[in-house]
Amino acid sequence: MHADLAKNYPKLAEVTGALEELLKREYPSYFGPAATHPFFPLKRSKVIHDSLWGTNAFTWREMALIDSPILQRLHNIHQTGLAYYVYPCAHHTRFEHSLGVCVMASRVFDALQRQESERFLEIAAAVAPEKKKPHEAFAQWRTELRLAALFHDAGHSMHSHTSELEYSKIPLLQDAAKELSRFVGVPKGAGEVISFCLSRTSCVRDLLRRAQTKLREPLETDETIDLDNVSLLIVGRTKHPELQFLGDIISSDLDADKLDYLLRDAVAAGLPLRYDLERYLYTVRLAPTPLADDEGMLQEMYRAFGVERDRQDPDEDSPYPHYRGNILQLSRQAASTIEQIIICKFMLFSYIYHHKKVRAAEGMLTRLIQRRVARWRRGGKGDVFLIQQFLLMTDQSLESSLLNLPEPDIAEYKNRVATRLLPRVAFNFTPRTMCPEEGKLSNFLSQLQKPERIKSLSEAFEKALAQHLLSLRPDLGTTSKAALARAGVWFDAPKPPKFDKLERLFYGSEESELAVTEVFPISSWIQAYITYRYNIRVFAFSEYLNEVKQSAIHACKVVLEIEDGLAGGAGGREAT
Amino acid sequence: MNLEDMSLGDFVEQILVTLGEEGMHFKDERPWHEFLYRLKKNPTLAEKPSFLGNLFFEWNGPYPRSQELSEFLHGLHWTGCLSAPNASYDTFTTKPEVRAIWQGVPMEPRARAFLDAVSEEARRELVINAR
Repeated sequence: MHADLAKNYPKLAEVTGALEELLKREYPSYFGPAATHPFFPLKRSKVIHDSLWGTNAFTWREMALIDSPILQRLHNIHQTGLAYYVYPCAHHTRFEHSLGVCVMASRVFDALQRQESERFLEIAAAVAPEKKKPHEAFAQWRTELRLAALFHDAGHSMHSHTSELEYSKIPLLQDAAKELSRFVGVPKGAGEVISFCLSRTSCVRDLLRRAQTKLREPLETDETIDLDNVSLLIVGRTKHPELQFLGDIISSDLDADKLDYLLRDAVAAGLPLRYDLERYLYTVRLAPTPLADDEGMLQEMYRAFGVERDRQDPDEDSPYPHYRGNILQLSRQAASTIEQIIICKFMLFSYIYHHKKVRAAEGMLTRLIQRRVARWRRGGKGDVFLIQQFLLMTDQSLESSLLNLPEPDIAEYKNRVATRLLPRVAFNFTPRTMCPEEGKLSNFLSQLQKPERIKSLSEAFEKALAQHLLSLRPDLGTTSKAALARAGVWFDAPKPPKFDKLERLFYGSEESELAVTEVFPISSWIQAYITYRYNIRVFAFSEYLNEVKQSAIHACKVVLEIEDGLAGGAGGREAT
Repeated sequence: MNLEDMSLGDFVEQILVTLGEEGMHFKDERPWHEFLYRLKKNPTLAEKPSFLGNLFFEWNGPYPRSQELSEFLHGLHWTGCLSAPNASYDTFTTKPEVRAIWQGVPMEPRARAFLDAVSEEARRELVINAR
């Protein structure tokens, strides 16, 4: 890691160091002192066929990364976790998704270059005056963009987001995420920290440097790239504000990631959901936009890489000190495509990600991982060890001895997950549930939206439920925790889908500037989705279903303070 | 509620109680983000809840924006705490039965003093047609 970065962002440096040590130890032939890979002479490019995007060429640099363990491990991580228990064909992996994002990112880039050719020339002259030919600058941006796309999910672990929720609790990663957020001026999570830090290891730099020496034919043009820029692109930034649109292609509400996963997840699951990609590509544009920087985060980020950018004083464009940037935007003609993308995302949440059986399977796996982590902690293992373990874990870990845990209350969980003996919904309620005291239900649901309250409210609900359950079934144990575990009970309040930055990416034409919210009542759409499709659920093993339902009704009275209880349902009444 | 324990969500709820039945900005979140950002940076406020110091604002457009605030505002809407009686969703108001619950939250004097100190600016910035 760059010396200044390591000094100012010690947690990011520590995570980078942990990943570097792991790569060298686990994969010495790729990253060790006597690394031999890439072993065979490399062709300039190689063709890979994808079920979604067809035949695409990948360059020698991309192939060196694709063929390395950093990306190959993604072959063993399902893109949609345990969703294949509901949609048997949803066996697609993070690997093919990463290639898909790479393809999508360059298609968006190519469309922009085609549609904004003059602007591209101006930007190249401004940000890369050292390049004699602007097309060399374009080629470099495109290469860096595609590498960032390949890297963007490299930090994933076992069953994707299921394990992400757990490793996000590791204090070192939480501190590193805060540092990364402060560094790039945008909130970032633990998964992005790992992808960012992986890209900053000397292992990656050395691999790519070695790859260049293994080329069959020497390079005819300057193919220099800036790996610092690749790292920044992974987290949605670049080293120059004029190039912010490149960061948006990788990380924004209408990014290449979304363009790939919306369609890939739907197709793999067999759901007939579509959006008009060609229209997206036809309407994508650059929009000059001030990037406000009142707290000086952007200035510090640029300086960390030894560059000083032209910072504007407050003016009519922005009441804050700012940089002149170019962001990715879609024109008014993309209205129907935006609608399709939003609806696609809502439906995928409803049909796949929040499906009751998917939540049931992931909830059990979550509890297994939590116990595994707790055992490691009791054995004196620290944060670095945990981060390394999560990076070693893939979906195959479910079949290994890693999750063979001796605790009697969850001894059968692993077998149940592996054989799909999943808990059922004992009780559920939604914002539309009939309630004699509507205000109390709304208030309870809104309290669950406070990050600092969700854990304590869930625990309070589970505790009230467990105490009642133990009065009905004393054989379940002597403590609330044991009773809940044995009966397979938990309170499940998933995070609803969000589209909270669309206004930045859309709308406008030369004649009229319109915010997206002027055209689409996004908030009311979200409200409608959640009102009808969002479920708070209480899961339980089949043999305890009735007792758990009674106990959940009791817990509603205690925690929500609703005298006559809540007329919740029991799974079968859900819309999906 | 203590000043130290007050969270972003608690603060937003109490501001909504203070503004009563006034129609507020919803479709355009910018006034909310800038209001909170100004509070964070305001050196003249004698005491502030600690959440303000920790509230993260992202710098990715013409104004500072808090993702946490944005998510909570949306949450208030879909959970049924707010209603937008107008077809264009320009404004929203707090449902009276929810407001009554938030109004009943006991408030420590320092927390009350802080809310009183910022309520006028909140009215000026967040209420539609208040300026």
